[in-house]
Amino acid sequence: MSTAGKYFSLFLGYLHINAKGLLEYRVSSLIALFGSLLNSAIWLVFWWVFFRRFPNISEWQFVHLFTIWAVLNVALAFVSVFYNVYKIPAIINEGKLEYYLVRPKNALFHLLIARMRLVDLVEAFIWFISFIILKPELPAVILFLVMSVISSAIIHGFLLILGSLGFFLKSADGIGTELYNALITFSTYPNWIFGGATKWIIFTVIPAGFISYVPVQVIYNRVYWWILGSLGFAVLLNVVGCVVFSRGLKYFETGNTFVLRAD
Amino acid sequence: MCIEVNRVSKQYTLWKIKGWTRRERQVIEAVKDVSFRVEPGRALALIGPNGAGKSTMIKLLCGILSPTQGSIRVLEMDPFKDRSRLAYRISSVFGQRSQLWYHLPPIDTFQLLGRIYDIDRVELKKRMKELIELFDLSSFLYQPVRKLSLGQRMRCEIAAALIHKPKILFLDEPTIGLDVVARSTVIDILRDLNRHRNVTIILTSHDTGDIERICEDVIVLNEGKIVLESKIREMRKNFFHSKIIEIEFAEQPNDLNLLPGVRVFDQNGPVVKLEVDLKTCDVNEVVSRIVACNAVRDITIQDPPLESIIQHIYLSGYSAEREAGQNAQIDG
Repeated sequence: MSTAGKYFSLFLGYLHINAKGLLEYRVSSLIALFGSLLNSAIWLVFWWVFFRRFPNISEWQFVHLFTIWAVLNVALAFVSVFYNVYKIPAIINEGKLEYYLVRPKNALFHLLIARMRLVDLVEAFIWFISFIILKPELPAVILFLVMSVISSAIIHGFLLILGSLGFFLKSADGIGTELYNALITFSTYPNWIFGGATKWIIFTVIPAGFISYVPVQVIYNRVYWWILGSLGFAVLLNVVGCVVFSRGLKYFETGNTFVLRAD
Repeated sequence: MCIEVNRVSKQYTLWKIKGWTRRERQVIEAVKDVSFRVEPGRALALIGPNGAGKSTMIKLLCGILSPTQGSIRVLEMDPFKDRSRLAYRISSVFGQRSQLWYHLPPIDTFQLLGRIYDIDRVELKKRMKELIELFDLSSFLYQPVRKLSLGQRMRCEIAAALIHKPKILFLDEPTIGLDVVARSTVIDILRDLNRHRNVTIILTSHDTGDIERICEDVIVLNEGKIVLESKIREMRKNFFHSKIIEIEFAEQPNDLNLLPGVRVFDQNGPVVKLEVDLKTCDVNEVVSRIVACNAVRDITIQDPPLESIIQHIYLSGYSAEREAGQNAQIDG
């Protein structure tokens, strides 16, 4: 079997074992799914009421907002297939990284696929169906899927960079959580209303613009060059994430800095 | 040579937080100029108090950490540079960390490990069958790990570590938290692996009973340095200057008529334990005197526990390194 085949086989092995884990706790998983859908529904009702009162803000309507929620939720579900990307600082600080280091597979890939939150894929499916009902056109559906995959890659790269800082900063967990929350918050708001420095921030430091503004531009206004732009940004983030992780790994293996309270 | 460690040191940088803003840099040398060799098929114990450098040494040997100075060869490979390649030929069990999936049966972890180590299905099936028999896992193989006892879980841990037929097994406190029966089972399995299946074992443990039953060789570490490198039986011979005589009298003894150098170590009714200083007197003489004065039901003569020898080594700061030279070799 080729190296790629062996890695794919490992991915399938983890998919199988995570699916079994999900079935072992199917009731709690379903409750979590229901809770998440309810949370999204409450926000959508809020926005629906808002847009009924103000139907058009900078030419954007409720349908656009629904689309960014759908893209974000499908993207987050894809990221959940690599669920450990959320846990990198904890994996480093709690010494769990050693499990992956003593295995013959690439430590980063192995770590990322080891935990999957597969119940999120059910949620993604519901959002996907909802989008089809909202806009039953094949090109729009294809573009929706493409932009969801690219958005997931952007979120993944963003989390990978933040998580890998855990090698260098003991407080990376807290900083990462704050920045991730900011990303999600900006991604679920009609961030096209912002301009100037805020717009610059949502396309760089907190790349929420790529997850909300860009998919709407691509799906509704067919601004195709944005696909390449966001794909390039996704690749860049993930490459930088891999570099930071591999530098951090070297630092971990050769340095092992500890911070202790002296008194 | 299976393992060759040559003048290895490992330093950590420690930042001490003092007050609100001040941080003080401190370099900690976890392992200091350590050298040793291990022949294939041997069982070596790394022992020492907490912070002695045992776990760091294991991590260096597995390739998790790189040495600050010196060189390490494990199965003719540099463990740090060739870590992925070496991983196919070594395995590790860390007593406080599990590699089993907590909510799923052990069989699922075994199958996953088959994929991690690229074992084909037929070979994996054969290998699992062997391990299930060897570790007697069949009765709980399909039960979720969370429902297993600690002993059953540890048997599964060791079986999982052997799925890819490693040449060397690193064990860091494998019997921690186990009850007497479970501990005994795990020790028997490890001894069998070493004696009959030629698996080299490197073990760290605080339990001297485990060490005595599994290992032939021992390295005592203290503050990152080797303070003693020896065979266990030689360590006993060199450091045992006393014997324990356990006597069961027919009735409560009146007069033990003890010689100088003999003290009562423990007494429980008619059962008395005496510690005899071999430098001062002879065991035969002590026994003869006691038998002459009292009716005795049973007598056993034992060495003192290994624990007390190790305590003695730590306290005396004995350094075999000086005696044995830098590159002392542990061989048959």
